[in-house]
Amino acid sequence: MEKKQILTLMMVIILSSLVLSGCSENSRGTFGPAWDVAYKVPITNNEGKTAKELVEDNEDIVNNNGLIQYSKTEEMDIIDVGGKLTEVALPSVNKTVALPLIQLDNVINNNQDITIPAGVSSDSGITSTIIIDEFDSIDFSSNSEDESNNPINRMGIMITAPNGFDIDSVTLTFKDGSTLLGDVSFTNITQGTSSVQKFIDLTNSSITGDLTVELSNLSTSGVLNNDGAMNLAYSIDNAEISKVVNYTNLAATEVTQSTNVASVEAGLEAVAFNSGNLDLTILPPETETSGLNFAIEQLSIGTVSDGSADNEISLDLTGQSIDLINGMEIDFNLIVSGTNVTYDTTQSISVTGGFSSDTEIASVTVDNNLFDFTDANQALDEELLTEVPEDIDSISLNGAIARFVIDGYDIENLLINLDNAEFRAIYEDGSEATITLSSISGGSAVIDSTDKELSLLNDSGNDFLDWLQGLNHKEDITSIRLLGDARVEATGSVTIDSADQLNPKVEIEVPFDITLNKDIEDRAIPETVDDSLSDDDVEQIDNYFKEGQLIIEDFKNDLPVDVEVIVYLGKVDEWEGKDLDEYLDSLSEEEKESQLDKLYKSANKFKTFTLTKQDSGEKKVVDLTASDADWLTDDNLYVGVKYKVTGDNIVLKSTDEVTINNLYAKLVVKVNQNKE
Amino acid sequence: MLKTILIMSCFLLVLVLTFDNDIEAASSAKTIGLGDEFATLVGADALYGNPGAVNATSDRFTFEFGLAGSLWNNLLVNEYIDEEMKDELLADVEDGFLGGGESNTGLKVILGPVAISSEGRGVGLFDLSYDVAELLLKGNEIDKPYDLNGSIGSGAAYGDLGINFSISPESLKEKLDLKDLRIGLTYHHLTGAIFSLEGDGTTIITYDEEGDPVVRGDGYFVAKYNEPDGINDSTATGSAFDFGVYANLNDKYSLGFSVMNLGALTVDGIHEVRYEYNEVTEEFEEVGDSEVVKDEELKYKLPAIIRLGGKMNWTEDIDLFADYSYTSYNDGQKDHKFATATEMTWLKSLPLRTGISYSTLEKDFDWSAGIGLDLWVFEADLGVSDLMGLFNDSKEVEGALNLKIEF
Repeated sequence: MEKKQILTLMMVIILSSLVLSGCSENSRGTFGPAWDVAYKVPITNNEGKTAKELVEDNEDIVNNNGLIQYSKTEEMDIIDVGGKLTEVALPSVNKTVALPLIQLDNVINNNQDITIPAGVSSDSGITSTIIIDEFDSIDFSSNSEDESNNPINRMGIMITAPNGFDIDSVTLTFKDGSTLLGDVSFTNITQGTSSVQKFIDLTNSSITGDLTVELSNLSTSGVLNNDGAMNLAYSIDNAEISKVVNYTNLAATEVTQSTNVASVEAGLEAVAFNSGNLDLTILPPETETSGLNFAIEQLSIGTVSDGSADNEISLDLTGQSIDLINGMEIDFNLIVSGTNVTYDTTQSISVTGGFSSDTEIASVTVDNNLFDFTDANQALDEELLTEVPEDIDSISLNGAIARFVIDGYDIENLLINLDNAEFRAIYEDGSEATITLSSISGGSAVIDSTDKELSLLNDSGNDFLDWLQGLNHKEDITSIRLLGDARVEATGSVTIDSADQLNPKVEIEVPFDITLNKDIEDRAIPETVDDSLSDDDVEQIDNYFKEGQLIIEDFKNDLPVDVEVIVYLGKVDEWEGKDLDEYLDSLSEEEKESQLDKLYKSANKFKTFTLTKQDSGEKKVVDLTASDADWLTDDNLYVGVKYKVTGDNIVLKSTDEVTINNLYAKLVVKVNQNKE
Repeated sequence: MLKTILIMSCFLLVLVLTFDNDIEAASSAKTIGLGDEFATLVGADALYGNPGAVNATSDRFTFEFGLAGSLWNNLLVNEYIDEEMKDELLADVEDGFLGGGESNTGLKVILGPVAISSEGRGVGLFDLSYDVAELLLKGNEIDKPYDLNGSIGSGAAYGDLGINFSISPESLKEKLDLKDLRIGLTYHHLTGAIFSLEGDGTTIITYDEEGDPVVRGDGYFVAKYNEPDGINDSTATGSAFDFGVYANLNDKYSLGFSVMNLGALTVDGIHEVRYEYNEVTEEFEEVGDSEVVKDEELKYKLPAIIRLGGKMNWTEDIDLFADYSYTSYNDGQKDHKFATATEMTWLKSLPLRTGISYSTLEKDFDWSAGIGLDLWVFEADLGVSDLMGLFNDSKEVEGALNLKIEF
């Protein structure tokens, strides 16, 4: 064989080898690329349990700024003092008011001559009739002065001596019929001149018609040769009368009247209104008999007034307040006038009316000594606890709060008396144990608007928490209730707004640490495993599964003991199609626990992590095998996490917390690799 | 959730494998052995590189059966890829995870200046986002968004009935003082199936506010395709042309130039399937009715190639080839390929071939080899690539076998 042919043959062999080995295997024994793929399947994140959740599934235990507290606030029915105490009866008005005395000016102002016969120089029995045309009769009041101390109710008399002689003296006696009204005497009146004016007091007198005047004690200087005329001027300038009949010309005259038209509820001192009206009708006496013209110039009830000069008056009460200390008083000014009228104080004005139906009271001011507060008393019957907390005996009272608090309490002088209230523990067999609030508070359980609360704690060893701790057979207690009543009282005048409401509540906040002497377990709400695997899926995983892990990426365990985190995986057909969170929430605690038992059972215990005590951060890994995929073949699969803390006389402190972040499964599968 | 993740990841893997299964090579054993469809190859092999050189042989009749296939990608190598290597490989595909392939299987008959071919062909290319590549290679991370944007792919599986005609313009040949000059044209009638794939949006596996696992995001894939059932309206049809010039300058040097695959397949009635995460069922699932035919045109443009090459008869027994080709794919990817090869015929009946090529799209060198067996009028050829696989550093595999009678 030639050298070239040998070379060629060798190259053929080499190239053939290359061609064959071009299909060379990779290091995993397969042709082409081979690699591993890690699928990370999230399970749950940020799952945590505080010590209080681990100890007791009690929503009344809270973490307050790092302090684990038993915190309970029980709101009670509101005390509707505004609604109850402002429901006062507003009076209606139906009153007749006598006409007041009236002051008249220029009642009479006349003069007339009295004939002195010729030759008379001494008493001669001269009489004369004084004609009264201005009225038929008149009754004067007993007042001799008006409000300005000006004289009233008198008749002024002045005479003028006739020409022909001087009058040295004379007495004029005035009579109404046979009734003496009075007399006046004059002296030293020169003929043709007038005397000074003198007055006859008419107080408490009446004039019923024309008067007669008799002259006596007449003494003259000289004698009349012929009959002479002595002029008599008489007038009534200012009179206060109770009655006048057929008064010829009553000019417009103002009369005022103030009267109490209605009585009000005892102790009611004032009422302020949000809205409403006081509607009044004021009618004068029968005009047919009196002939009076009436006009109501002004009407006032306290600061509320109306000047509409109308008989039909509607007082707008919006934003107004009426002082009712002395009942409901009305002041009104009337204008009377007329010709040939009769004004008689024995006649009456009619005042009728009342508050409109839409009247709304804004507030009332009441006299504590007279007003009845019992309407606002509040019966108490409130369940504070359905059971006594298991750990009540380990409660430290340092920093504890227990009090009866009233919110919205700003009513000065108003008190809430709880002397009749008590806490009552009710046992399964119906027996009871009680403690009164007055005994807790040292004799008197009264809350005022300044303190707004009543402490349920004391240093005497007999407060509310002491009582709770001291109760026998706590496990048999079915209810702790607050019973009795909250009485509303006052220490002085109280103004109550209709919107005033008192919100009583009992607040209990007790910080505590827990000494744990037994194992505790807490089971999280399970989650649905949304995909089950088919047999083919499992076979594929079995063929290509390389490794798997259940991983907690991050955790924190504050507890002074290791915590086991147990993952449960199982089939629960009863939960199919249910929103598990909502479903479990709808159940009673007992039913819920029963349902959770369906998943949290030993057969479903999948994997367990141990979180080292007082440790954090380090990733926790539990290995999985290909056969673990069998766990995922069922339908209606659920996964749940249970925390287990081994009790060993450990103290769980306020900051104790167990959290896990990012619990996931890592499944590494082989791609294009032989099953090994 | 586990199944969702498995489905998401496996969907991508299946997607890649689907490409692999559908793709059939479009080359011959000789071209694969040499590493490229050189423009200066003559005979039946020239149907893939230069239609002008099909009849540039002394043979008057050729009957050939061939099958070939090639697969490539720019990420996965034929080795066990450990975690460290994953990072290295992913660093090279920041612009996208590319893969593709071609195939052909069929018969060719050459009679004088006329050649007829009947082949089943396949071609396809996918370009997936970096995040998809990472998801495929490394798996998912919790709480990490995966961006599907820019993930596209398209391809075709079709029957190709071609006729080639080449002439030798004597006057021009003499004018240019060439030993031989050939100009050829190939017409292809195409029928078959085409498809496109597009992904967009992001998908993240994370926890909700309650700490419960949840899949979120708007990530989706949309696939459009036709289902040919015989020759009817549901079949994608089209035509394509190849044009080439082959010149034998003298006994030592030859040149070739060609433009290939100028054509496209189109169809008016298509199926469309959208894959996305359904928040109600909490599964990554198919949306829409894949049985419904949409009145929408789908077009697949064949990868158009411009090719320029030369050959040198270095010695009587050794030929050297060099080629440059530019390929434009349906989805816009561009590839520049440089190739050189040699054929050694110390034993006339046992030609040996080897070559090296570099593709800018693959970003990878390929080493190929092939061997022939000539016995009287019978000839068999075998070609394999990429021999870099010997060193577990190959991102491509090609293979072909041709049997022919030629005289």
